[in-house]
Amino acid sequence: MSSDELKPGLSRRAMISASVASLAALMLRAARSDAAAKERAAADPRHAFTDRLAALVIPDTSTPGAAKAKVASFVLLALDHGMGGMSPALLECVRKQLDEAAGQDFTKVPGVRGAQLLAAFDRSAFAAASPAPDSAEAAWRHIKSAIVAGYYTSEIGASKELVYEPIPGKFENVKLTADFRSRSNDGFGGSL
Amino acid sequence: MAEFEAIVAGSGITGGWAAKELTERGLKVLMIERGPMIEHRRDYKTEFTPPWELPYRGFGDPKALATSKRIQRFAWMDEWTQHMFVDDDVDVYETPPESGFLWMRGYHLGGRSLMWGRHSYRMSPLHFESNGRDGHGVPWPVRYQDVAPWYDLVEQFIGVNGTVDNLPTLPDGKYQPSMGLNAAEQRLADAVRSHYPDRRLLPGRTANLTQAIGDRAPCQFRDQCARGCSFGAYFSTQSSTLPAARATGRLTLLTDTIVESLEYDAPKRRATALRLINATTGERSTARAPLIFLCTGSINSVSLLLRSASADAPRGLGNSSDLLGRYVMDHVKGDWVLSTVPGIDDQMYLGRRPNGITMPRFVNVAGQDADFLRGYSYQGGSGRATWKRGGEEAGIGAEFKQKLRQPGGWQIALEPNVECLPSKDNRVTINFDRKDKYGLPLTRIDVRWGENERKAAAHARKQAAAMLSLLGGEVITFGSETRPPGTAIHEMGGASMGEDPRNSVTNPYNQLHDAPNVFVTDGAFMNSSGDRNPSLTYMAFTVRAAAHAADLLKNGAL
Repeated sequence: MSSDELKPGLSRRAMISASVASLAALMLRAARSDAAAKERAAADPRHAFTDRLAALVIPDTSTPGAAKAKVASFVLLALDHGMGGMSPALLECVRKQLDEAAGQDFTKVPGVRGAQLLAAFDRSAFAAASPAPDSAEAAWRHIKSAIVAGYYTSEIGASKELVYEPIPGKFENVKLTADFRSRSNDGFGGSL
Repeated sequence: MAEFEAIVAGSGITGGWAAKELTERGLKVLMIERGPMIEHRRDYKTEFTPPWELPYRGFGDPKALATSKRIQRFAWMDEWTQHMFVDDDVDVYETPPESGFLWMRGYHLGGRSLMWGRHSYRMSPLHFESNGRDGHGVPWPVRYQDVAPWYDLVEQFIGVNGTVDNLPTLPDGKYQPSMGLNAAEQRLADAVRSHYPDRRLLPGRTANLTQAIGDRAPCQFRDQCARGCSFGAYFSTQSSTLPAARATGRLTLLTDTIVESLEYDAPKRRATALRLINATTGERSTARAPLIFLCTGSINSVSLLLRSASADAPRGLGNSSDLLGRYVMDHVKGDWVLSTVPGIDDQMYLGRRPNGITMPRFVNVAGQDADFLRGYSYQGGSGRATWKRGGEEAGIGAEFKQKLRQPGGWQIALEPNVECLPSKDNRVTINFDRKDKYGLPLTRIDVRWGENERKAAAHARKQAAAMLSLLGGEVITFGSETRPPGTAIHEMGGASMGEDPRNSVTNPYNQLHDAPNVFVTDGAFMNSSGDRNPSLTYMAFTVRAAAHAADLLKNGAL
């Protein structure tokens, strides 16, 4: 033990051993937890509806969209854990609105018609500066934010659709070109 | 425990400097840190973590934000850095509702030097004269020219990027090349300069390297400093002062150890020992040295001295003046104004500067020209809207996705740093009836904004809106109410310095009048807050005090 690394009550060797053991246990627990979370998400009856919404907002194009990025799992996590002040009721509110607009279960509406219905609902949600707090429009704005956040913080959204640039190495002012792709990093962090 | 010539309590911005200076001046030093070890590079565990590997993608655990981080969340904390901040359920304190003081802290090696904002501005001559001029607070016993050489030394060691501007309210220093302005900031700088001859908008001056110093590499423009920087590109204890102190071979570092109080020998007028608590086991011990530097952070150092009350110092060690714990300050923040910036959508930037803009004080400079005392400066920054705007505007489908590939519109923000008028009633005390998990009586913080702060903040909002309106965009003013004290994380004062022991706690070299072998060199010694980030000033005074202390010790005067 070097003289500048005194840690009362625990030797350095003991610390390292404890750390390695703890890390291994944590990694194992995390892997199990991750797999379990994925299973739970797939079995969640809300998943199909959320996945449909996400895919309509950010579809596959030349890069994979929100469905392939598994954005629905993030949205459900955000709802269930109260991220950004959200709650599971928001999703039900949106579902009710879209089911009514479709006259049937929204998830069963064919692709183009589904996109048209959601686009109309989306336009109404953003028509006013602030929709009524308990309205379906307000609920949709929360859900949409979570879809966008879930996509652009996923590996697919951050690094395939946009440019993931962890170490820019320099700062410079440039002209914006038509083929410029934003850096996903610019939007990381903050609040949902 | 081994013999030491000096003990430094605290390992943050000033503790690191004290350890460096004292060891380099030949002293055998024990540095005590209450939190755990964070080793440079090795322990920056989230530095390279992408958001998709975090449980909440970087937005934070809502449960933690509502409970154990309910206060710390008001710092620039995120999911990558939340482990750097204390647990609000464990590291408790008291504050009355009328104050609502937010105390943001990091208890680990390096303290807040790892998470600090890095803005590094010299106080101006004006700031050192203000208490004497308007009668608020204890008059400073030193002037700008007394500190200037120490500012030089500190700036060159830590590495500050900035411009030389020859402004009376913002003295220039020894700078590395500036990080510059982006297109929107330059546009505002030009507009302000042409419209207000007495105002200048400048690139921020931050302790981020634009040129290497030793094995510290230049900034990589990641703007994620608070995760820790393996490049060593910003100043922290770990990257800068600790390696220097270790290189002397005279530093012993003791982590996970809380300083409970100081023992006092009244006849000799000396503190003789530090009473310690092992933060892991609760075991008590003592450490002794002829020289003691308190660098645990302003409120903690004041609390430590107040807890050191004894029969010979019943109101706390160093408190014969009854001023210990008084004149506690912060800067008023939160009154920020934002504007869109039209007409430059063909301009962009690459890289993320860990920096922004500053505008030095322009009110009450030559004389009293506003209906409040002192003044304010601004900081802020600009950028283009990111992909996040997708959650705030209409659109779905391929076209929507394509649109978010490109950046959104420009925005620029100004936020004032309002000087807090020193008030005797803004105070830190100890509630000996309530204890924390370590058995320490709770610190109570009662700092309130007064009418002067409110007037200055309102003035700053109005002026910011007027300047931003020059850009021709949409101006949005946020927060008609200022945020609670503590928000700026510039808490300071409580051990004011002065020549007269009856009217001050520390002398002009940061020594307690009542125990001259105790130096208080974190922000507790500050007599006024000025209108700018104070850490550079704490560092300059620490180096100055350490040089003085080493001389005194060498001459047998301690």
